[in-house]
Amino acid sequence: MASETKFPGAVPAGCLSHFAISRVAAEGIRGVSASAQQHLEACERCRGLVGNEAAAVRARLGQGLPARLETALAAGPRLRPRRPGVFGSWPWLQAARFIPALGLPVLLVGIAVSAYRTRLPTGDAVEVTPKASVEATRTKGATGLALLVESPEDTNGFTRVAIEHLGEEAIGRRVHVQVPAPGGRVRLEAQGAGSTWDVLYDGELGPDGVVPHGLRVTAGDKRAFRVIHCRGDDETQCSTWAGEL
Amino acid sequence: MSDEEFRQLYRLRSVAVARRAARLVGDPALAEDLMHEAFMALHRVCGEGRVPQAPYPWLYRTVTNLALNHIRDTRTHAKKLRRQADEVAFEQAEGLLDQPPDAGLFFAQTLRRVDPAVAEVASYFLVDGMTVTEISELLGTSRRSVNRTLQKYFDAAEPLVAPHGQSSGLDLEQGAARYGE
Repeated sequence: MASETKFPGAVPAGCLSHFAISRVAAEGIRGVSASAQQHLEACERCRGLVGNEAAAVRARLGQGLPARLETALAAGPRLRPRRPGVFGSWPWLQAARFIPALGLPVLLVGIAVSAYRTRLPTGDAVEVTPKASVEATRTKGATGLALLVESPEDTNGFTRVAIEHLGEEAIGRRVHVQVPAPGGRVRLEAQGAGSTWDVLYDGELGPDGVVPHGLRVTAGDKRAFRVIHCRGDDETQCSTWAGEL
Repeated sequence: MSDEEFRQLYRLRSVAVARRAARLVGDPALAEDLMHEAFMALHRVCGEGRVPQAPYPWLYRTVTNLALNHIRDTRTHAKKLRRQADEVAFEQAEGLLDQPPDAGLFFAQTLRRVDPAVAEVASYFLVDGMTVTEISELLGTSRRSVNRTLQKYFDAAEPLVAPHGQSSGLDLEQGAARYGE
């Protein structure tokens, strides 16, 4: 045992390892090889270490078990300490325990705010279920057409929605058309019986760009409409939108 | 294992187990805690009907792994080691160090670079001064297996020998060549 070399700096060359010294201290010289016994007789350092360790073992022989070990023995094999879970292995994961506690109130508040905003009678946050039967297509002009939908709670209030967001919820309500560039003249036409176009409004457009005449959204068949907005006499300055309600 | 056998094992081996832990963590109070933890683990496995054939080597290995885990997980310990390494490098540069630095300190510096199983074997060789034969007996493996594991350790530790451009004082080549004798 002692004849094999040691790593330099660990223990002096030829000396017993700490493991061997503790073994001799607890079990006596019989537990080690003959070469180790010879070394022990010759080496003052190893003899001293063995003596120190043996004295410490003798001192502990008179002592009882520490409280936690006595408790474990008294509890028996069935009552075992709880093994650390995945959170116990990495201290930085301990914080993850608090995520559910912190996240749940935030989630509830978010749901409440979202529900409250959905119920608002006016404002951009009104959500309307898209409906395929309601659509409008810009055929000419630079920018998009907007629809102002009458609020169900307040007939004087209107909500600005994108055309593609006008849904079944709008049935029975009035809708005003708003063109993107105010001023000039505007003509609102709706398709009547056959292929004729009924002029619903033909006149000046206010500074807000809203066509004064409203369209009532009806259930059932779609009704085509078109908006012609001219900012001057020249036809090249006219924009045309067509859609169905 | 009966309760009385467990008590007797504690009286005879707790000193050695605690000293083993102390050599690695450098703190006697912490070493006592780790020793208690190792005995608690032994009590637990005995309760599960998996009594180790040789309880003392089992305890020795268990407390070794507990201590190595503690060193890996403790940031303050790493800072302390870095500070000590800086001091050693300074003393070497100034010619103040006339003896090789502690192999245990060198081992602790390299601990984060190697696998836990490799670190365990290296700790027996560097910190305990055990021979390959002793390590193979303790682990219940062949000498060849221990040699291979030590070779892995030295391959991984080589870049850390002289982090400041100075010799660490530990002749690794010599050590690596001699461990296989």
